[in-house]
Amino acid sequence: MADSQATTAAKGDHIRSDEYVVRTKDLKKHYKMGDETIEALKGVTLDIFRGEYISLMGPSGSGKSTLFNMIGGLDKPTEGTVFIDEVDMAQLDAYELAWLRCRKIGYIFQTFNLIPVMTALENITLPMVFAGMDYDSMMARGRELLETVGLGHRLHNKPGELSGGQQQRVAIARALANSPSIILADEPTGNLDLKTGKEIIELLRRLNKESGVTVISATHDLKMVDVSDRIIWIRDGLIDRIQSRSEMEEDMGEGHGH
Amino acid sequence: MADDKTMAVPGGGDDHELTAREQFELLTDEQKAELLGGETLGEISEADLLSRLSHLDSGDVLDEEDVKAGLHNELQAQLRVIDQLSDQREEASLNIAKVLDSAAVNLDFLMREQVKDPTRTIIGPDASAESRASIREKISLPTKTALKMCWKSVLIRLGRVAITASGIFLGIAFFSSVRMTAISLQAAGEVAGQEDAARNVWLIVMALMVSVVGICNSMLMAVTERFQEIGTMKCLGALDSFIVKLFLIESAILGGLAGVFGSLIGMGLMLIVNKMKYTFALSAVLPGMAETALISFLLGVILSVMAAILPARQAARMPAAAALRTTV
Ligand SMILES: Nc1ncnc2c1ncn2[C@@H]1O[C@H](COP(=O)(O)OP(=O)(O)OP(=O)(O)O)[C@@H](O)[C@H]1O
Ligand SMILES: [Mg+2]
Repeated sequence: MADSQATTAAKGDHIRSDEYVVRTKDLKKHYKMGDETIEALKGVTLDIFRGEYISLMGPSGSGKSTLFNMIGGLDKPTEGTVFIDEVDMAQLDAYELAWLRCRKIGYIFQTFNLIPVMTALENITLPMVFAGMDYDSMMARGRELLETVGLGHRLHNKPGELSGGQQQRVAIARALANSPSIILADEPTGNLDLKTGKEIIELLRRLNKESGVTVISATHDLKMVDVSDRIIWIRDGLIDRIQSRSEMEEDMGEGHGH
Repeated sequence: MADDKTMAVPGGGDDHELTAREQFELLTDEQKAELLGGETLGEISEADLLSRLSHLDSGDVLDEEDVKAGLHNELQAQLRVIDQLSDQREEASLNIAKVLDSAAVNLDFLMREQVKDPTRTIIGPDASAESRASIREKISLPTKTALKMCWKSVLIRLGRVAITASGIFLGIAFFSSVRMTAISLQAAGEVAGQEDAARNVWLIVMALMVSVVGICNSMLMAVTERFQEIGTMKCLGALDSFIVKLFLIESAILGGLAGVFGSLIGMGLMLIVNKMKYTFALSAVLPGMAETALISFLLGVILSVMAAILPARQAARMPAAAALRTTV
């Protein structure tokens, strides 16, 4: 196991199995604004493998956040289906949807979204409370996760006492609380400076490689290109093109040649 | 035709034992005519007939070989048909085997998929009814944890909470002071005026109603302020009922605190005032004061929970997607 991971890592390849963790079929989302209808998504069909690191890129207003909402079960599509681990989200009741959000998906936001009145440790253990974990395991796991993201010394600080980068690390640890299959991130580096953003991206990539969690990140950040297994370019609510890692490297090579 | 011949040569091996005439009888009309050559059967001697028969025999033998060959061909043809049939059967059974194989592979695949995919067997339409039902218990917010969370939240936002609670605090302080005066008068042996009592009840009811509306308003504002926090909680797996629970508990804590402190302040002030006006022993008013404090606490809790019902329900309706919004 460790061996195979080492070799795949050495090849610069991603750990990925042939199972799909997310599939969308002809996904459409229309927003009604008075008389006019905004077509935020116009039919997106997408297959994402377990363990992939995916970046959703595209201009502002192209529908990245809308797609994030659909995949994360935060909003219902107007048409089409989303499968998470081959389960059709539209078929789930409120309890199952909450369970899915709690155990299967970890969310990371541009604005960090930590609960301001809770300490770092309390923030991280909140999803575990919802999942019904007992107090001792919860505390142990919380500490372990904070160590993992490099904040073992800031257990009892409130978000207000932490820097943006540190807050995002806490948010990443919280997203991992219940060992989800997917981490969904909407512009995780959007509010961070260049260096801190890079650290956050590297942390996400490391967690992706270590635990095999699938990362799907909507972003404007071209730093993400380096770590992504595939880049999905979105334009006007449609998939413009999908670039795999090797294609990106070819593009870069050509770029250097000219 | 083949059948005819077979019938015409009953027991081919007994030829020699037949007399010439009997053999003649077995011939076809054509052969008879050829044999006789215009003569009648009576005109031909036994020996002659025999020799003529033997001449004819060659043809007869040929004929028999024909029959044999025919039969052989027939047999071959039938064997070939049988061969073909068994070929087809073999092919069919091969096909069946193939179908079964692929079904087994499919089944195996599906079973492996199910093992790989715990989600599919736990939630969704494919999951069993018990599994779907047990999900309800798997997501929980224990009341004790909720109390702790809300208690901390109230302590941290104390300044803010004090302003929200000031209405109910003042209402209950007024209620307690009126009760304190009544208790003091009773202890001092004085009689309170009836008119005063009626007006006081009216004032107390008004003050408490105003404070309920005040709390409701503050809580509604807290809901709009905390849209992102509520959305985030839902992203982390909170059910609508958790949000309702948190808001109601927070409001209950706030109301309870306001009740106790309002009561202590109201009674304390009136105790000093009445102590100066009348003479009574402190021990005589203590039971009444304890009772008033308890009633105040309960009143504070009940009224603020009532005031928080509408805001809590509004908070619970906040979509999880609100976590992504940055402006109201
Ligand atoms: N709740 C909403 N109501 C109405 N229109 C919306 C809503 N959410 C998104 N839209 C519209 O849908 C389109 C896609 O928006 P979306 O937020 O998905 O873009 P985005 O790719 O995430 O952009 P950005 O990079 O700026 O975050 C936009 O035209 C936007 O105005
Ligand atoms: Mg966006």
